[in-house]
Amino acid sequence: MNTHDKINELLTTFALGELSPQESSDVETHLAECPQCASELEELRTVLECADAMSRLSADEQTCQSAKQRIFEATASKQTSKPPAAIESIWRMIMTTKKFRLAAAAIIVIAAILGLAPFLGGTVTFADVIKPILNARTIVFDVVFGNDEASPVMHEEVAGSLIRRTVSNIPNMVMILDLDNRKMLALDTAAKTAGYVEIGKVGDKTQNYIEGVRRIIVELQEKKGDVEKLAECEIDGRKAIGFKGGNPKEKLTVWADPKTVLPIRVEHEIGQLHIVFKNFEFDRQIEEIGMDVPRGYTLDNAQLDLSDAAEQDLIESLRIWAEIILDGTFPDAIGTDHYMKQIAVLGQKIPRLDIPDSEKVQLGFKFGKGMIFLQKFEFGGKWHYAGKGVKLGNADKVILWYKPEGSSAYRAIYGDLKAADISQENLPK
Amino acid sequence: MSQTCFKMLIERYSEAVTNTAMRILRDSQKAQDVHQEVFLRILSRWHKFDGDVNWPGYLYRTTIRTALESVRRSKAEQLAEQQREPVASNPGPDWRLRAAELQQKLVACLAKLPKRQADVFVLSRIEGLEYDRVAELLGCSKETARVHLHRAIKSLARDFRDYLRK
Ligand SMILES: [Zn+2]
Repeated sequence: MNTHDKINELLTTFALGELSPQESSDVETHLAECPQCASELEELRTVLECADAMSRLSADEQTCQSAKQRIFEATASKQTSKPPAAIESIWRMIMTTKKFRLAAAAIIVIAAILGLAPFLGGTVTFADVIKPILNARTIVFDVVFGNDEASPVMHEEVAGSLIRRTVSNIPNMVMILDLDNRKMLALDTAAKTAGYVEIGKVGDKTQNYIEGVRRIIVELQEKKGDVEKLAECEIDGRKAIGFKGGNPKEKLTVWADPKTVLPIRVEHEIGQLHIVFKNFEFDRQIEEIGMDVPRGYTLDNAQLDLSDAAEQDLIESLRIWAEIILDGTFPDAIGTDHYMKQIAVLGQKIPRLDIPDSEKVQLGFKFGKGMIFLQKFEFGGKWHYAGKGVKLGNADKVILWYKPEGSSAYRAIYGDLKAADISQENLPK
Repeated sequence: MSQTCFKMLIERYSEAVTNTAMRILRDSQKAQDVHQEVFLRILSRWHKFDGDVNWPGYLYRTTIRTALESVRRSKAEQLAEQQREPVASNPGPDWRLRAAELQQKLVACLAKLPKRQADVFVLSRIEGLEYDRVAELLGCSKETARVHLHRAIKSLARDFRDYLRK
């Protein structure tokens, strides 16, 4: 390549001022003696100067306002009454004031709102407000993982550390969790069988969803500020005011009805997981939640223990996913939300498999246990899933890497389901 | 799409969208039209968005493309107009280029570039963003953004050459 060609290649970079001083001076020397390069540079500069002039332009305020106005008019619903300022400030206070910490710790902030209506009248003191909040005993709500309309819905009745849970895609199944004692009682209401499951430490973060919400609220209060008020909008056909706050790992959004001051929806984003809470009911009379096997049920003695979920369980669940749910290919994506969806699919496939019944039970259990292990890093660790389109048995492809919370080492799982440590530089994108 | 709501999106990005459209089209009425089109397009596809939309990236891209689309449309209208009354335009050979005309020409050339190149050029040179941010908004690597920008500038300059020498 001669000098002209070489310099000519560099002209755009030169015009952008991205060359090293040495290269720049080479270009300048050549420009003095080459009219063609000089004129090409002139053209490049005309383009850049022209763009520069355009970059200094901006719309005046009136244009911005009327653009916004037009879109609101084109989409708005009839009335636009603003929520009373007091309600907004109370929400802000709840999300940011330390004094409310006790209340929030006792029951989700949502319940806090219950006692606030009289407070709005201005005759009630802070102490009065806190009392009913502390007394709110039960919360009933629905939880959805992910944003997909098709995601299964978990229905929860929570009284302290006891939870009664049903899931929309697993009919006839009732799960009763005792988080203090880290036990679950699973009831099959059709077959009238019952079984105890050890849930171990996994229960702390991953089973008590509402506690996660409380935790972040407390954190927000401690930090103060950092809670953003969102524009009013409509949720499920109701007017709602919203507040959002959080940290780089987690975000919490609370939407409430400005009239009743009751929450409509809470959204909790943890890493890649998105949890939506809705259909709240506070202090509703619920059936007592107990850990005893109900009358008429037979206790199944199979030993099911989720407390020791390990990497091998995750691997087994991926094998089941690729082999039984799909036809030898790994799923496009994994995560609690995806597992939840597949549980129903697996439930349909398992009865048709030609294996003993005891193995069938274990199969479903192993799949769930894999999800439990995933949750150990899904919520707090670093991880990346790259199994989309990879065939089971492909030893060259890393389908998943992760770094467990608190660990400094990375682990990789390959398409042949072998697992090994992997250095940070070798992590696939 | 549940984690955010449409109104919130407007509150947050309306001004940015109007400004970007304004910089490209230099006409407040047209900028408002683009703004309207961008948000209505989002609304019509609202149910398709999932939780992790890169909204700034999506909005920039849609704004740039909608604005350039409107340039292409009006270009086509102009051509049709010219064919009907050929006497009207066609400036003399020695007319002077004014800044506004140059800008108009630049945008017309931009509208002919591959979409990705046009995106990068607008974000980098007209919105004045660093490669890092451009890459983040467009979901590509910094290097890819750089390559697109260089190609865009080269081909715009080439177009300008033909125009300036006409
Ligand atoms: Zn030369």
